[in-house]
Amino acid sequence: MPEIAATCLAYEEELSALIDGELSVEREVEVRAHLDACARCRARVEELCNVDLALASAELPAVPGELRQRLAARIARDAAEVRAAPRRAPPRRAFRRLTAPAAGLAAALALALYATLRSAPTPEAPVLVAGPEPRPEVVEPLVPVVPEPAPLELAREPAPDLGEAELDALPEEVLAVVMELDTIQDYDVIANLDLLERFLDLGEGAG
Amino acid sequence: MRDEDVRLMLAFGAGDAAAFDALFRRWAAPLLRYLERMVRDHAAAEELVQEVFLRVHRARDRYVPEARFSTWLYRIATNLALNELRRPHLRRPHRSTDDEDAAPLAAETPAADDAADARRMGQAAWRELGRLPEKQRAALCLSAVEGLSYAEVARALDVTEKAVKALVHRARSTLAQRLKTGD
Repeated sequence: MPEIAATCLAYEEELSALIDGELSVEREVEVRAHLDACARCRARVEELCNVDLALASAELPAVPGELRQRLAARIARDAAEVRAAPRRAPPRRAFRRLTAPAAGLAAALALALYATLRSAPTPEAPVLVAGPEPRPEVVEPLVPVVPEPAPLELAREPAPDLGEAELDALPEEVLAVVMELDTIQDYDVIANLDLLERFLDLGEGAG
Repeated sequence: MRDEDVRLMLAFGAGDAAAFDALFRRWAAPLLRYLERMVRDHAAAEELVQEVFLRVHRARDRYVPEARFSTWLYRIATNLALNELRRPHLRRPHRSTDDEDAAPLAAETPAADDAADARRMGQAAWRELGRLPEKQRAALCLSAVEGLSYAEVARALDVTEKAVKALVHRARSTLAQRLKTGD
């Protein structure tokens, strides 16, 4: 960034916001008053506006005709996977008590789902309980114990946190799904039954 | 309803498949433009456009209009783009852990597939945009090109409006300097 005169420093950070119409009325008046008196800042505004001109496209990119068809095929595959996913009462499996947090919000949300799925018979009161020890010859991944059919709800209490050891122990494909939640949590698709079922299937199939 | 897109999304959720097609027609091109500039690869951008709409499709039964539809759409797109940029095959050995100072992951010269957008916006601007750190690039593209307000950009990037203001200004200022000097 070029050297800025001390008198202009107070306005420099506002110039982009001025261009974008993001200043309050009062602040815009102040900045414009400065611009009226300062050739340097007027030139600076022009410089910044030129960036927008350089970025602007005369037209939008052409969307290939087959993109919609490829999307339709993906949606159809997605729906088929959901229909094909077997609906069965999952076997009871052991799982470990969760420890202090180390993971990011994605893992915490995944664990909120875990807690819900593993809860006692009343979904509104998710409880983590220790299950039976795994058989020695089977490496047990961190797999939820799913109760008999009950409505799925997100945990109401703060999500339990995964320790690093527990995260490290997750099979790669399960971890990939857990991490994928990071991309969709903000639009609440963690309630998406498709993803939950896939998650359960991966957990059961791992190890 | 003021937001036509929200109306379409709710209609889609109610079973109107044509509403989803309408959303695709309205938003596929702007999303493609944004994602091309973010991930710097036309083929990857097309895949991500599909991914965005796949998530829209999946969310049809649970969609609740808390903000403009486009804000939600760009949030999905931004998350996907940032994840794509952070995939191991795109990392360079010297990549900084500080996102704001991170070396850009994108190629500095457009591949043949990306040449179209480079021509539309100029080779130099394309190149310099790719050199910006990811969040600066996203903030600038969303604000200056896609027309989102700072509040909407903040929601898309999951940062504060104050951060958006700084990101946008830093990005513009850097591009201004580099385009001027050819640095």
